[in-house]
Amino acid sequence: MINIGLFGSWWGRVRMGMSVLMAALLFGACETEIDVDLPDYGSKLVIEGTIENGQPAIVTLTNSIPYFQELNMEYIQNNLLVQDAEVIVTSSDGERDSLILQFCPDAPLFLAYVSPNLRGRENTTYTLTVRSKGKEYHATTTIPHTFDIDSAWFSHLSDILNKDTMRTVRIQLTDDPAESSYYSFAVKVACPKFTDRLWVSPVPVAFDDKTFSGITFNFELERYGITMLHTLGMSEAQSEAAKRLTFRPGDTVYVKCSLMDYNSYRFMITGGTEAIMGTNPFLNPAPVVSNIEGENVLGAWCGFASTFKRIFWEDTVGYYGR
Amino acid sequence: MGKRHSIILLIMYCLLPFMQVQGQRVTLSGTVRDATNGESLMGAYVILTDTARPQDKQGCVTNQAGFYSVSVPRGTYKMTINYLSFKTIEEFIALEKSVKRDFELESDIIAGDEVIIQGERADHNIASADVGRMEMKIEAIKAMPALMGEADVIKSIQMLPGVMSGGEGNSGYYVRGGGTDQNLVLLDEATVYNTSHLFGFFSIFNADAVKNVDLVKSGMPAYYGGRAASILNVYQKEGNLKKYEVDGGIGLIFSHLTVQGPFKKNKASFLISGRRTYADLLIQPFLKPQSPLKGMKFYFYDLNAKFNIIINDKHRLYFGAYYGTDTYGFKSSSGMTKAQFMWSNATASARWNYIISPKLFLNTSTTFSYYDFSTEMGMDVFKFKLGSGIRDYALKSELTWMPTPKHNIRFGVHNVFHQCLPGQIAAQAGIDNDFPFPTQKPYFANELSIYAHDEFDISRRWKLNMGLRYTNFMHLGAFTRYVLDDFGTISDSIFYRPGEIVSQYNRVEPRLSVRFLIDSMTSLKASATLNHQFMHQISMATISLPTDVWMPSTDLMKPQMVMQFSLGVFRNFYHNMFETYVDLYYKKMYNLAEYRDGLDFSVLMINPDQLYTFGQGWSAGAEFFVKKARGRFTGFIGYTLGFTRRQFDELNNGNPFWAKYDRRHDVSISLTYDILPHKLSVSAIWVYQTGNTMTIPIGYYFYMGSYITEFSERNEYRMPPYHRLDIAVNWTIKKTSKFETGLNFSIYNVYNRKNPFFIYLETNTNIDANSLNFAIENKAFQMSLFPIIPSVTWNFKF
Repeated sequence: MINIGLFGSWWGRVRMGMSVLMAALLFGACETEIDVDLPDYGSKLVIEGTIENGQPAIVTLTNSIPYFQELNMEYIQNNLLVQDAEVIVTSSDGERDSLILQFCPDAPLFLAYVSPNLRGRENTTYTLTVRSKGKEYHATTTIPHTFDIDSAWFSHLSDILNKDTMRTVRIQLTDDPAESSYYSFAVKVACPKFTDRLWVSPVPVAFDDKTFSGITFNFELERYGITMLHTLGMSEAQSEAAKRLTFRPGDTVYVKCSLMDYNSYRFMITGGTEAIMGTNPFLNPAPVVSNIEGENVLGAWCGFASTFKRIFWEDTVGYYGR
Repeated sequence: MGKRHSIILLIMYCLLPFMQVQGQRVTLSGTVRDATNGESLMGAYVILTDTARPQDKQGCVTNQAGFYSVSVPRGTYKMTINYLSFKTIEEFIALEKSVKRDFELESDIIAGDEVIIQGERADHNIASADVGRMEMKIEAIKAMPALMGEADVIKSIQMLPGVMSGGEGNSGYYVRGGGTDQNLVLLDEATVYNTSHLFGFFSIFNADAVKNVDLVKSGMPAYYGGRAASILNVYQKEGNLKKYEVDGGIGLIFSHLTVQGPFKKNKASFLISGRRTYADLLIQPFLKPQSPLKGMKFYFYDLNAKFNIIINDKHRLYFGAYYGTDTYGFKSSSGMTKAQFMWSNATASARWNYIISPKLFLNTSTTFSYYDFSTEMGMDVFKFKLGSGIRDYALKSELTWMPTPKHNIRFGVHNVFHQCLPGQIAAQAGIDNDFPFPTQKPYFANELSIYAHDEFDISRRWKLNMGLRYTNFMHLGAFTRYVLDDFGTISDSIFYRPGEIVSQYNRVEPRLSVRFLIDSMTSLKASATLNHQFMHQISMATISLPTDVWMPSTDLMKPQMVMQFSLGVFRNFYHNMFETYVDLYYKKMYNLAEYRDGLDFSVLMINPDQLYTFGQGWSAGAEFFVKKARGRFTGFIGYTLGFTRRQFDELNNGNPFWAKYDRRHDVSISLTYDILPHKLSVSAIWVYQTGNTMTIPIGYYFYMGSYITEFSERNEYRMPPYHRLDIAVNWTIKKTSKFETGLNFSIYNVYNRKNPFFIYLETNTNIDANSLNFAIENKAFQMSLFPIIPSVTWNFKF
């Protein structure tokens, strides 16, 4: 068995370490805010579409935002959400459903196109069609088969920090050597101070099995990927509590373990890498690889085959179902 | 071209001068040295003027060993030996038979009143057929203002037209649009793979140990190879053959000391020189306990050594070595995060010079180059080590043959065995769990070159430098090539046994440059060259860092190929007091390599060359240069207008983009005024460069609650320009034949320009939890490195 922890971000840590070191070296270094004259920017349609085994298709349509445009509630209401699109999902089984714009607690902005009838099934391919402002966009994704992890437990974050009050979650699984697998994991916390509405995807948000094909490995999960949209609607105290990286006594942690297809993985890994290191001034930013066909479009249409676990503070493992 | 044809061509080429050998000729040959310390003088002119026909002049330039050879018809000649900053020797000599004479030139420093910018004959720039070659004397480099008062070879050559700096904090330099890896840096003929100390703030070359610096940026002679853009040839001093000498300097963060002298007077000498920074020691008492630098190593040092043995009139041996190390570390106040970075450079060379005959000179050398980088990082339970490096073992033998005064022919063989260590990685992510990262095995390669080069004086007006270089490059086992499927998953592997040829390339590189003398003050020069480069350094970062690894050409990574054309007009004025030139260039580059976009972490399992994508580049520009070479007021102004683009099918949607260091305008002004000749001088430099290009965020969006940035086309945005004024005062307090002391006062960045080192972007989020109001706002910040920095250095010599 091997233990990989947050190995995925090693290179970023080296680079960032060197950046920090260089900054420390620069006795006289100074920073000044500057105005940047950007090229003209036209907003693009952003398609955030997911379909999961046993769940409806959920598609959020938004517009991308000019970089120096301030984003606030007024801008969201007037410019961000696209509410007049036609969204259709068809399956490789011939099933077809028109999605309806509705309140959706699982969507970051609470409003999304949701399939009223169609539910995701394993080993099935789904095609998304979006028509908006006279343009049409297409994408295809496949929900692979589900898998089961071996176990999940709370792990000590450090020998140095207080091991009684700060822990991470480790999960252990055995990779299938017969196929290429693309994994992602996410956590939700329920505790006295707050309950997560959205899944938090730790870093890296996705990875493949090239490094550990066919072997048993374990993986550390922190609450590293939490953003403002996760805490929207929380009180200040709840928001502060939710931003912590580690888990505390009394936490119930839900773990979602997913497999996806290669194109979904490509989007998740490039998007995740960009989200972490995109504006590192020492790295050339890499484009996020979308699986959507069409002009001036961003985002992806991703299928997930997911299973769930629920763990309590003291190494109690149980399954969590919806 | 087939191998057989290439060999035949080379043999024919070598035999060509025989056809022009005339009878009844005698040869004057020997060496030219500095009378004060016995150092060989490279680049001195030896000219014979026929007393019967004064218009008939024959001459040559001394090579790196100070050797010269001039063949002329029997007769009486006026011999002139000329080297700037030295007294000219003039004497009449009757040549009835071949004669060997060694000369020692007296320094002209005391008698003269000039400050020398470059160690060349006054009209060298007009007479030579070298189009893009510039030599800088170390005295000129030392006279320039410098950061912290430390004279810097690399910073000085960045002042020359066509040579772009990467900016502060960047160890690389860029020649006519080429990459940093396209510059071959030689220290006593050994390749130097990393020229930087302190992340590029200083170079590894200790000015006290350097004798002279030679830069070739176009019209590259055939005896140089292996790089596509430029050659920077640095020679260490040989050591004083006459007397013991100690030079030193004490500065604010540096001190340096050089000791040299004879083992046996006029027969054998040594030189040992060293530098060390001590900022880490000086600042410790002032650091708070929680400072990231408290108790951490934070320094660099280097050592140079040279030994020189004159066995007899015909044989001479040189041994040179360099070793330098940088060590930097920090830790967080909690002690959870620690990091240490180390890199070391070493070179060693042994050279044997043999004057076989008055017309034949043999230079044989063996060199060793070493570069190692390692980093250790600890972040809580996560520990990570990364190491990389390269070793070169080289043997070179070159014959210089001067059959007639019209020909100076060099031909030789050069073999380099490369051992690249692209990535040694280890990680620990738990208390008792090591993750066995796949360690990359060393890459082995052999680069064998043969070449011939002739400097041919066709007539008084026409001169031709022509050459041919042939290289056989082999990537050798042991090696495992992984075969990937369409999804990048390893589907198979091929194992090559140790010594087995994995891939090989045979390349021929023709080099040609020609000079047409319009009149004694004006010449036209043109060159056309083809260069191949078999070693590659691909940087993942936007700046050149010590982490960048070297890789040999493989079956996937073809050798880089660069064609360059250059055309220049050179004109001197007022008896060579002012030198000017305009030089136009165009380059086409093939098989350039960059990292693929969107690498994921599993790539550690595959071969590193599978991470790269390949493309092409273009570069064009015009260089303008004016220099005042003599008088109390000296200096130069250089301006380059340049364009550099790249095109990769897999980057930027296949669209061409500006290179990172595409600089539209580059201006360098260096001026020196001798207030009191050789006692007090003031100098100033001003540089201006168009800002670097960068890829900048233009928009953003959300996916699954995460904020994702959308970027511009690659390198579409241009940072603000870089400019800076430095001044220095050099004051020689006392100078006698036995003791010399002086002070150097420097002010770096006089008008405190906040030059961009990098631009970074920050997202501010404000949330009002009660009202659900929030705001996300992005801002851009510019990080600047050096403000105005005054410094003082005390120098001494006895």
